Amino acid sequence: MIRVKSPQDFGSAAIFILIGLAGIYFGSDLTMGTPGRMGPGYFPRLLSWLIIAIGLFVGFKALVIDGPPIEPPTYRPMFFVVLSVIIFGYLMDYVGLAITAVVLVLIAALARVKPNLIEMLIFGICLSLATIAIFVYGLGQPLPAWWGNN
Amino acid sequence: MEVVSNLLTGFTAAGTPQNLLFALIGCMLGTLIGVLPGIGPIPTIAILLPITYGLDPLSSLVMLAGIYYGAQYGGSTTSILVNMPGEASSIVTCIDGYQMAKQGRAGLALAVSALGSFFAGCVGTLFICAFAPPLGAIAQQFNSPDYFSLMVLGLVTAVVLAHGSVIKAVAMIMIGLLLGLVGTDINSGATRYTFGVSVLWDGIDFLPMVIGMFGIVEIVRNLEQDDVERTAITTRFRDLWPKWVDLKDAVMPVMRGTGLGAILGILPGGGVVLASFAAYTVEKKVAKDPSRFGKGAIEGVAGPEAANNSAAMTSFIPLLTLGLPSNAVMAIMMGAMMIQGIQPGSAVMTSKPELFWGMVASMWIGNLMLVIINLPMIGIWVKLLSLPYRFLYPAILLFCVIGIYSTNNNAVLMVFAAGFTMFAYILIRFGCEPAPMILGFILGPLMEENLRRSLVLSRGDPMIFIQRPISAGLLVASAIVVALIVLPAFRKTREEAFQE
Repeated sequence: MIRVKSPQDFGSAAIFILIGLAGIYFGSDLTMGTPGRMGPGYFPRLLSWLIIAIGLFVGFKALVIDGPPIEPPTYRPMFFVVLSVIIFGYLMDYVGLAITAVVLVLIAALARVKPNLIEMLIFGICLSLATIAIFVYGLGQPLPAWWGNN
Repeated sequence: MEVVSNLLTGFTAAGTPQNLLFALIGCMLGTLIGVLPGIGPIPTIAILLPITYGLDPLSSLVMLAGIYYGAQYGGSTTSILVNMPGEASSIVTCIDGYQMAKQGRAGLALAVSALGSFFAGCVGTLFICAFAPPLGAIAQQFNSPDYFSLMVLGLVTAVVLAHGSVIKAVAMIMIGLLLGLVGTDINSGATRYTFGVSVLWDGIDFLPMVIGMFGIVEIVRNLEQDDVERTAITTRFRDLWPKWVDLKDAVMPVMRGTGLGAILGILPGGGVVLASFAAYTVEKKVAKDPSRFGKGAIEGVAGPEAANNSAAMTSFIPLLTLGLPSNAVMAIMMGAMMIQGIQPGSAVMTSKPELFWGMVASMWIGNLMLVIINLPMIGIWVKLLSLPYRFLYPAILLFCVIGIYSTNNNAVLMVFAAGFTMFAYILIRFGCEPAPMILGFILGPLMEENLRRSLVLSRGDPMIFIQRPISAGLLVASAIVVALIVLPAFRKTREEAFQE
């Protein structure tokens, strides 16, 4: 029975090999060419193989040499932060920065356990007005401020 | 005498009201993010990039550079008063700086770190004046094979001097190189790895990637820890005037730190963090009574703080002369220059002298501004520190997303940013540093281009890299660096250096 002695290294090895394989698979339609006349597929494939090679090496090492464990992830912060970022992008077009900024602050607030949403709503409104003042009026960024573009 | 006339050109260019204003904005912003833990120069520069599109190149570079070295000043304030590093480069300053503050010598620690940083900044600027022209002249002799080998050396050194696992960093660089190739291949017109998505035709957008991997992921990681109450030791402005007796002990550490930082800053992968750690180790080694360290030794503040600032200055040298970014911040500066239509490298010095020397002059001006602004404004920075993280992080997050969105008002970029955030999070969990990836990403297309051109020249014979003396020399140097890392003795020192 093979035992993983270094979970962190084993995880990175898996990612490296996956990326290398993806590089080869999705680049398989690119022409290789010859070293003297390199096609668009030459350098990507070279890199992909090297990444796979490193992945295999690190993976082998992970089975032999002890290493630190992987800290268990906490999903809550990641989920709400990423959600707020994506919603921001889609909401901006429709309702503009003023409302979107408040929504972002409120969703991001949920990333913490037991947020005080009323406090964050007031903070979000202040922050929203401040960013409009700075980015739209101060720096002249072409952002939809009060309502969306469409 | 040429240096004098060059500097004159520089000061004329940097001394215009507009450029002075942007230097001031950059320095203030740099100090601000330096003081605040949880946001560093990398995402800040990235967030501000879209705003610089409309500026002229010098103004934008002056401001972005100001953020980088301003952060070195600001970081020490938090380290000394709160015992929490405002920046990674100020981690060691916590050790003795906070002890000094607890003993009621906060004013002295702050003054020494500001004055030491100023001295280091001045020397760092002189270093650029002295080394950039000869290095640039050498770089003009470079041909495609030499450039390729130079990038190999740069990346190899960057890996060795960065902290963390070497082999994983190599893989991260290669992943970066691969991601840098996404988009339309300039030679054949073929689209690579675009999956039919039109936003990818020009390559992966730089900003969502950088802001995701360095800005947003930091927020997520900070939120995983409990919100610690930050209590700052208060200090008054009049305590900041140091007595000569106290300063005397700081003079030599500042000198040593400055020299060490200047050298480590030039090396690829060196930069500010390594410089401050190395300076602390050196001070401890040369001290008559090393046991004072950790109990408020002024040398433990003066050395590292001087070192990180001079390294921040000299890390511009490889970028401005060779077109080689030595760390992630410089990679972003390189991106900023390319957005302005400037290809960083030796040509900048000859074709745009006012840009090159203007930047050098602005760094000196910026350092002067920082000393003048920082010491009297210390009270304001301390106030900012008492802002709880629950207010800070939504604001940082909002600035991050506005920075990404204002590049081209496209929601797809947000999905990219979210994707890179998760990617970086997983990598960090697996013990892989994301910084080398950015280096690879920026250098990917350049490296491929030079490899291709070299092999066209030699009709496919890889021996060309060894036949050309410059290229051969650079490759031998890379091989030596690789050999060093394999040697157990060197490995041990490297691990110790990052242990402290």
